[in-house]
Amino acid sequence: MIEAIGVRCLILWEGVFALVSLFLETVYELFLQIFCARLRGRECLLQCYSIAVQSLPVVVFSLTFTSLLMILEFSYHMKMVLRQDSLVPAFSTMLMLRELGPVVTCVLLTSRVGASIAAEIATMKVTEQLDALRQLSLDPIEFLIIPRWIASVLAAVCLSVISIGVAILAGASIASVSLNYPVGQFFNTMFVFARFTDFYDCMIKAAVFGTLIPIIACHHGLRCKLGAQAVGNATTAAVVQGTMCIIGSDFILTYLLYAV
Amino acid sequence: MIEFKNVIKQFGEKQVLRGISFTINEGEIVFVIGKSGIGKSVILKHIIGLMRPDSGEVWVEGQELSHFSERQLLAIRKRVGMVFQYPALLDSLTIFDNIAFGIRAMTPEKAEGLVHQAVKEKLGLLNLHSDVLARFPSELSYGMQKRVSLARTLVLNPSCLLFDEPTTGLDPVNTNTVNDLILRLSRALKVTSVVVSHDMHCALQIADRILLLDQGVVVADGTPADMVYSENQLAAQFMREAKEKIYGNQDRR
Amino acid sequence: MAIKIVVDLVRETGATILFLLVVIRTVARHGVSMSQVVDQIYVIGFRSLPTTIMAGSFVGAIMAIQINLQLRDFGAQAFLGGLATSVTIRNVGPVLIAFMLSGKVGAYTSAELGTMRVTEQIDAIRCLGTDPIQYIIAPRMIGVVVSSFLLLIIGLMVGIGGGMAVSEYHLGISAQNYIQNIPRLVSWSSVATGIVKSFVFGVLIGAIACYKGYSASEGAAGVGRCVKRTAVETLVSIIVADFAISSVSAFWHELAFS
Repeated sequence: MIEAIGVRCLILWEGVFALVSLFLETVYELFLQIFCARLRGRECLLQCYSIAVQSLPVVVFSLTFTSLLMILEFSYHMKMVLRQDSLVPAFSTMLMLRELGPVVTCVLLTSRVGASIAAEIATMKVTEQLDALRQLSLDPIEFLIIPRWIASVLAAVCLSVISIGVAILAGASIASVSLNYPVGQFFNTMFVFARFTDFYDCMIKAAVFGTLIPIIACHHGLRCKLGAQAVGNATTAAVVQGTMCIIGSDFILTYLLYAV
Repeated sequence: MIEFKNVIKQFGEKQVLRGISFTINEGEIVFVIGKSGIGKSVILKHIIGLMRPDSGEVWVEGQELSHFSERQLLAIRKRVGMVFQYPALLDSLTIFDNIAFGIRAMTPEKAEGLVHQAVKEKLGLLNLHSDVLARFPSELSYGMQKRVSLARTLVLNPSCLLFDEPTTGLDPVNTNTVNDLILRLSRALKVTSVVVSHDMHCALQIADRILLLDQGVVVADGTPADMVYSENQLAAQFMREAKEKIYGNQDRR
Repeated sequence: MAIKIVVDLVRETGATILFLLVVIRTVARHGVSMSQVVDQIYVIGFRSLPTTIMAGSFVGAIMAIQINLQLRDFGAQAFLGGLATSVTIRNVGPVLIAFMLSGKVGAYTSAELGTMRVTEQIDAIRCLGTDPIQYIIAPRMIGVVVSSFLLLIIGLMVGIGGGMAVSEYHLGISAQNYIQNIPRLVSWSSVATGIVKSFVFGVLIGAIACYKGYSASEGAAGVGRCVKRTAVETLVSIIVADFAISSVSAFWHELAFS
C-alpha cells in the first residue's frame, strides 16, 4: 500500500518536473527568438486564427449566458439580503471581471484549444512526424510550441476582454427588460464596485491561464506513448489537467490579488 | 451462398458501393482486392449485418438481410463470423473470457464445461498455449492478440468466415499460420472464406477466386490464373509483383 | 457559415437526445448488469474524488473571498456565511465543479469509448451476439450520471467547508458565525436548485460523453477529435442548462413569494 503511494508520488513528481522543465525551455526559446528576431510570424498568425478567432463564437455565447445568469442570481440574492436590487449591475460586473470571465473563457479554451494541440502533437508523435522534424534540425519546441503559446496567451486575454464586454452589454439589456433597469444607470452603477484594477487583474489571470493551457497540452502531446489509445489519453490528460490547473491557479491568484 | 444484387451504399457525399453484384459459393475462398479506401471492408460489414445497404439486396444463406432487425441478424451471426483488422479484444476481460464471449452470448444455455472444451480445442488450432488463457490482452504481443481474436470467432464453428486484412502487421511466420488455417478450414470443414487483403502473394497461393473492386463495382472476377493473365490494367498492376515472384519472369512484357 | 454552425449544433443536440432515449429504452427493456454499473460508479467516483474535493474547496474559498470584499464595503460582513454559501450551491459551485468533472469524467469516458469504437471492439461485440449499448454503453452512462451527481453534491458540501475555512483563517469571520448565518439566507429552494442542477449536469456529462465516444470516427485523430468535442459541448450545455434552471428557479421563487 505504501509502496503503491510511493510509486504514484514518484510518477507525479516526474511529471511535474518534466512539465516545469518544458516551461523553462519554452521561456528560454521565446527570449532567444525575440532577441534574435527569429519569431515565426506567419506560424503565429495562423495559430492565432485557429485558436482565437475560431473559439470566439463559443466563448462569447457562453459568457453571455453566464452574464445573464449572474444578473438573475444577484437580483435574487440582493432582494434577499439588501431588499433592493440597485447594486445588481455592480455585483455582476465585478464577478464577471474578476472571476467568471477569465475562468469560463479559459476552461472553454482548454477544452477546445488544449485538446486540439495535444491531439495534434500526439498524432505527430505517433506518426513519427516529430522525429522527422528533428531530423530536419527543427526543434519541436521552437517550431510548434512557441507559436501556439503566443497565440494562446493573446487569445486568452483578448477573448476574455471581448467576451466580458459583450456579456456586460447582454447583461445590461436583460436588466433593462426584466428588472426595469435603465441602461444608462446600469453603466453608471457598474463602476461602483468594479475598479480599473479589476480590469488589469482580469487580464493577468487570463494571461496566466493562457500560458498554462498550451504548455500542459504540449507536455502531454510530447509524452504520449505509441498505439491507438495514445492520442486519446494525451488529449484527455491535457483537458483534465488544464481545467484543474486553471481552477487551482485561479484560487492562488484570487488569494494573492484580493486576500493578501 | 452469399449474393450481392446491385447494392448501393453512400456515406454522406461519397458513394462507396455503386450497384455492386457478385456471388460467392459455399466452401470457396474468395479474396476481395482493390485500392485502399475503396469499400472492401464495407462489403464485409454488409454480409454480417453491421451495415445496411441504401438499396439493393444482400443474400446470405438464402436470407435477404437488408431489412433484418438485430434479433434476426443474431441467427446469421451464429453462422457467419468476422475477424476484424484490429484484434478488437476487450481489455477488461481475460483471454479466456474474450474467447468464450461469443459462445456465452449466443448460446447461454451451454454448460461451462463444454465452453471450456470448445475454447481449448481452438487454442491448439492456432498454436496458442493454454497458459495464455488467464492473461489479459494488453500482456500479449500483437501477433498473439490477432490469433486470439481468430480463436474467438472460430469457437462458434461458423460456416462462413470474413477476414478483414488478417495478415496485415504480422511477421512471416504468423502470416503463414493464418494462411494455412484459412486453407485448412475451407478444405476440411467447407468453411466459406471471404478475405479482404492487400497480400497478393497470399491471394495467388490460396484463393479459389479473386474479386477486384474499383469505383464501387466489381471490375474483374476470376481464378488467380485468370487475374494474372487478365487484360484489365488495374488487375495487371495488382498482380504484377506477386506474379513475378510465383510464376517467374517468363512473362515479362 | 453561421447557418452551418447552427444546423450542426441542432443536429448534434438531436442526435445526443435520441441516443440517450435509445439507452434508456434498452435498459428499460433488457435491463443492465448491476455489477457492471456498481463497478463503473466505483472506478469513476473514486478516481475523481480527490480532485472534486480540491476543486470544491477552492470554489467555496474563492467565492467567500470575493463576496467578503463587497460586504466589507457595506459593513454587512455578518452575512458572509449565508451569501457565500447561497451563491456557491445555487450557481457557481455546480457550474465550476461540473466543468472539472466534464474533463475528468466526461473526456475520459468519451476517450475510452472512442478508442473502443476505433479499434472495432464495439463492432466485434455486435458480431458476437451482444448489444453493445446494453453491455458497454449503458453501464458507463449510468455510472457517469450517478457518480457525477454524487461527486457534485460532495463538491458542494466541501465548498461550504472551504468557504468556512478561509473565512475563519483569513477573513475574520468565525466558523460558527459563518454556519449560523447559513439557514437565514439559504432557502430550501436554493438547496433544491443545487441538487437539481447536479443531477441535470450529471446527465449532460454522461449523455454527451457516451454519444461522442460511441460515434467517434476512424483513426487515431478521430479519438482526439471526439474528446475535444465532448469537452466543449459539455461545457456549453452546462452553461445553458445552468441558465435555464436558474431562470425557472427564480421564476418559481417570484411566484411563490408574490
